[in-house]
Amino acid sequence: MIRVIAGRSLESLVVLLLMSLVIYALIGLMPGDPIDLMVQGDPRLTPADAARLKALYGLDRPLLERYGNWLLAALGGEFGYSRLHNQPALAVILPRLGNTCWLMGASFLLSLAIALPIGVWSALRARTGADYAVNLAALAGISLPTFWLALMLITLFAVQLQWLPAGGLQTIGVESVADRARHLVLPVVCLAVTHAGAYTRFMRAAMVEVLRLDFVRAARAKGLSETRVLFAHALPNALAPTVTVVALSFGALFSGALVTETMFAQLGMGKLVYDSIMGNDYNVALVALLLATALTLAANLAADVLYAWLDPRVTFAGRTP
Amino acid sequence: MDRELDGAPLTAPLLELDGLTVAVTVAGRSVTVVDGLAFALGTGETLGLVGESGSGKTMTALAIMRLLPPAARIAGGRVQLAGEDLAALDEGAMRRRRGRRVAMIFQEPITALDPVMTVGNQIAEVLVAHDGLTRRQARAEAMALLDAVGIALPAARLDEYPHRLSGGMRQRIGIAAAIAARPALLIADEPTTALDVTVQAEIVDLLLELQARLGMAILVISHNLGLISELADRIAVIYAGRLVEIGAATDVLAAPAHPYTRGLIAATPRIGGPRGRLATIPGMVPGFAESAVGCRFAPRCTLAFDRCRSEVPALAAAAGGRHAACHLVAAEVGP
Repeated sequence: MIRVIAGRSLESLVVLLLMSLVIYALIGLMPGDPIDLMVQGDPRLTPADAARLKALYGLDRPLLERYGNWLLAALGGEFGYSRLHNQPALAVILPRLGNTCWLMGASFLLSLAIALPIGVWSALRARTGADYAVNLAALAGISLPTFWLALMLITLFAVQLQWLPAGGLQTIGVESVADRARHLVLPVVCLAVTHAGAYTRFMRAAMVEVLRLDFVRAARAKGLSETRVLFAHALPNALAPTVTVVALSFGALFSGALVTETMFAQLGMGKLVYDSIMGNDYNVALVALLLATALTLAANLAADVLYAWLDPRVTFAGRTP
Repeated sequence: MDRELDGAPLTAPLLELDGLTVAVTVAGRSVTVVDGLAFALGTGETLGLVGESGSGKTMTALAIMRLLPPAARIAGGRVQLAGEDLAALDEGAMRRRRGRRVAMIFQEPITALDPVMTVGNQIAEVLVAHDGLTRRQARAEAMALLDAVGIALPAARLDEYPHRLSGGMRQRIGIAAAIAARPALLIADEPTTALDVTVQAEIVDLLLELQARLGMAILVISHNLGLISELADRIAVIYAGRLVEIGAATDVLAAPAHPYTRGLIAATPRIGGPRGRLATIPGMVPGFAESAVGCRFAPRCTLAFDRCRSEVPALAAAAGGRHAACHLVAAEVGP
């Protein structure tokens, strides 16, 4: 088991390396570079100045050579400077990643806390009115535009009721966990609603599928209590596929949620990636995207490990007889 | 008891079906799939319930267990087990009877076991539920049961998951879980159909051995007359949800009274028998939605006459202590 995980981690590193080339090339191929922006912003710069600046920053070198230089520096722990923030790229990214972890972690847990029980509950009432109602609500959760939901939440809880702040990370000048938490409530709820819809449907579908199987009837034929039939037999079987899908989506969470972050003025990864690409802030965009890739790969690995743990038929090498 | 009288069991009756009727709702319409089934099964006796696919065999078994699918329900009749009507019990009381009074083994040993629970736990949970054993006691008992159903190295097998075992072993696990709480009646629905021929014989031997040791009655359900002839003391043949013939196994197999039973036996291949095409029964089992006037077998019966198409034949005594639902049989024996 440990050896396989180590092997898979090594594979992930190779993927990460390839992705760094792809992302670097994509950003490099985008029209415009920082110097063009500087030229536009300052009419006194002559084309000769621009050429000199490009040579200074190495922007006149071929793409592959630039990538090679970047990679060597990156392997030495040097990820360059943020053009927009005038700070090392990592110093810009890490606090943002911290914010995103809180936001995404909390909304992820909340959406699971909503989705798993409701999914099971709904599966037990498959094709009844209650089940259709849950399905409809889940579909609504999936398809509600995030910006609209965010606006509604702000209007109701921040403007009308004035229970919660409308946005931001904390009240200026106040340093308390409770204050940070109050600022997280609305964005967390907003994100949880959108994710819970999909997770509910996964859970329900998996549970409905399992409840049809022979061993559930066999468990009832043994005279087990309905609780035991459901929670000792049906649920563990239904969890394996659900957990896999959910764990896979977990990685994507860390690339942030641009709309929610923007609506609630949360300084997270989504907004950072967007701003850095729009502002030609290469170094930040590159590292932020690579970080998201790394977390996605880690989540995939975690999904595989979880699946093997939940279902003994899955040998970790991946194939079953 | 005199079996000349009514094809009754040789021992005191344990299970008595009395007009059991099962209806299934299909597309908003209720159709009868088991129609007034009545037979009895004695303590420690084996009754083979025989019929083609779709004849209502499995529905009968599930009705006795009260585990019918959501669209099906018991529409009438009684299921008397040791003097109490299972069909009238509330769900909690019925749950306590399952596994303890009446247990069941299933056709597909591959799908009838929970793939993510160890076989030891799947047996032990029956003992925890019915005998109130602790997990440790139940585990020891489960090991003894594995030994009893002929699984080698039971201590090592306890913690195996089902997918690591062969089909025959899995069926033995299913049997071990079914007999764990020592039920008086074991329902075996096509217990060997999914297995290799050599393994089939082993399972038959195991069932016979366990029956001799534990004294339980077995209701074995199959379309396979070979299996039935090896296991059953008596045979009940059903066609389209109705009982058409019942009697001692040797009598029914040697000299079937009902034309359908005759057709069924003629359609069974025999090793060493004449080669060539097997006999078939023309036509198909009628859909349950088709309205049933008269004998349901009449459309496929080569001997059918007018009365067969208008009047449902009652179960009548035939020669050799058997009973058959056929106008010809009734005429032969006479009023």
